[in-house]
Amino acid sequence: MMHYARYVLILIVLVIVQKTLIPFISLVGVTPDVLLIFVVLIALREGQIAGTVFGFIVGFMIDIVSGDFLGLSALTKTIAGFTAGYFYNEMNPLQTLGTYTFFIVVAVAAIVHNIIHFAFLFQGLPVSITEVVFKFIIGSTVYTVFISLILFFYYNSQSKLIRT
Amino acid sequence: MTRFLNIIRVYREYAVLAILIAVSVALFPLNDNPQIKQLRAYTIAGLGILHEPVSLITETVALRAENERLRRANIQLADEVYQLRDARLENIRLRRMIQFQERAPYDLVPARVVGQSVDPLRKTVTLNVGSKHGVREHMPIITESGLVGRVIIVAANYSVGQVLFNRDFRASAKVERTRVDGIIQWDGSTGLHLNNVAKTLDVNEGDVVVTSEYSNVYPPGIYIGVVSRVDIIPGLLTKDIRIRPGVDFSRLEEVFVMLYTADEEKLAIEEHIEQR
Repeated sequence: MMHYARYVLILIVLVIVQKTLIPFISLVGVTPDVLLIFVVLIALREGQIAGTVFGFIVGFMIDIVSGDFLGLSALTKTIAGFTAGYFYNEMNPLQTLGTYTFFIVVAVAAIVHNIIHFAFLFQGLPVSITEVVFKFIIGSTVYTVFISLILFFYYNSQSKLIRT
Repeated sequence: MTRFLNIIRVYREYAVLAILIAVSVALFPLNDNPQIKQLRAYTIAGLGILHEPVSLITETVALRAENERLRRANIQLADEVYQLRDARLENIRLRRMIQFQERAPYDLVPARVVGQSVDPLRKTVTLNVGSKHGVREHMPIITESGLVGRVIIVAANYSVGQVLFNRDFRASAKVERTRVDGIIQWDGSTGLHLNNVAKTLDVNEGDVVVTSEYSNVYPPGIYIGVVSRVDIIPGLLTKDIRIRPGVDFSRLEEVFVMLYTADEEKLAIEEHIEQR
């Protein structure tokens, strides 16, 4: 139970980081979603249900803090957590995190998340679909996957230590 | 009921997903809810407090970069201002020179001072005109402000001029008002002397001094300067006359070489008399 409390603490820190520091590393208006990486991490470590629930909590917190459309992030992060949970390895939860599968999981979760998120967000707005697809859906996904390299290297080195 | 619970247990992931999606969707209409607004206000205020120290760091970094950028821009702009000012002053100088050139009685070759000697007692200037431009030795160098000196060495494309501030410089001169003659010589500082003027002759401060027709190098009437001081020194037969030159030698950039050579017949006869 303690590790869930730790997740909540990390979550609060990450929400602050996402809202304060991450905008400074934006590229042409595209920012990485560290909270989505966190949701994927929970789903791969704790399972699909935990991932789904944490996805909702993370999304709800974002909704409250950002002042955006209430419920949208909760919905998209819930689905992202659920999607990532499919890759949960019950026998060895940490195995996926140290391999290239982690990137695939982050990418799949991010694509699903971004499609729903930006489809809702730009619905009815005079924005070109090409821009939404390439800049926001693919751009944000690529950037998020790139940032997830930090976690990948961390877990990769951990698994090497365990093997030796 | 048991069967329903079993189904839920088997598909609990989907059940959780369905419930949370339903809750999320149920949140959609609550955007304008006063409680939600209040909650958002508190969290945004709290985040703002946290954001402030973070933004101080990032703003400091950004300010440093902006400061650097502004300093670069400032240097570029200062350089542009300097160049524009320089161009404006050059424009004024060239306009004066053109006007001067048009009214000068002799042909003038415009030249730029491309070098200056460092010898403090024998100051010379290097000009970017030479024999290809018609320049010959002993030709006068002038500006619109007056006499600068004379050409002493000529190459094809360059020439060297001896200026008034040179210990070897001498020129026959006269006071324009009273036609009193004398010899112009550098005073070793930033002025000139008019030598060989008897105490009894009429020379006052403010009198204009020009080249004399007795000169073998300069045509008569070239402005040299103004009498700045006249002293009578006891025991001397001549006056101590100081001249303030018209040309500012510290800012000599563009000059003219006057295509003037003394009458050769006159020179020949004078040489003949000297030899006898």
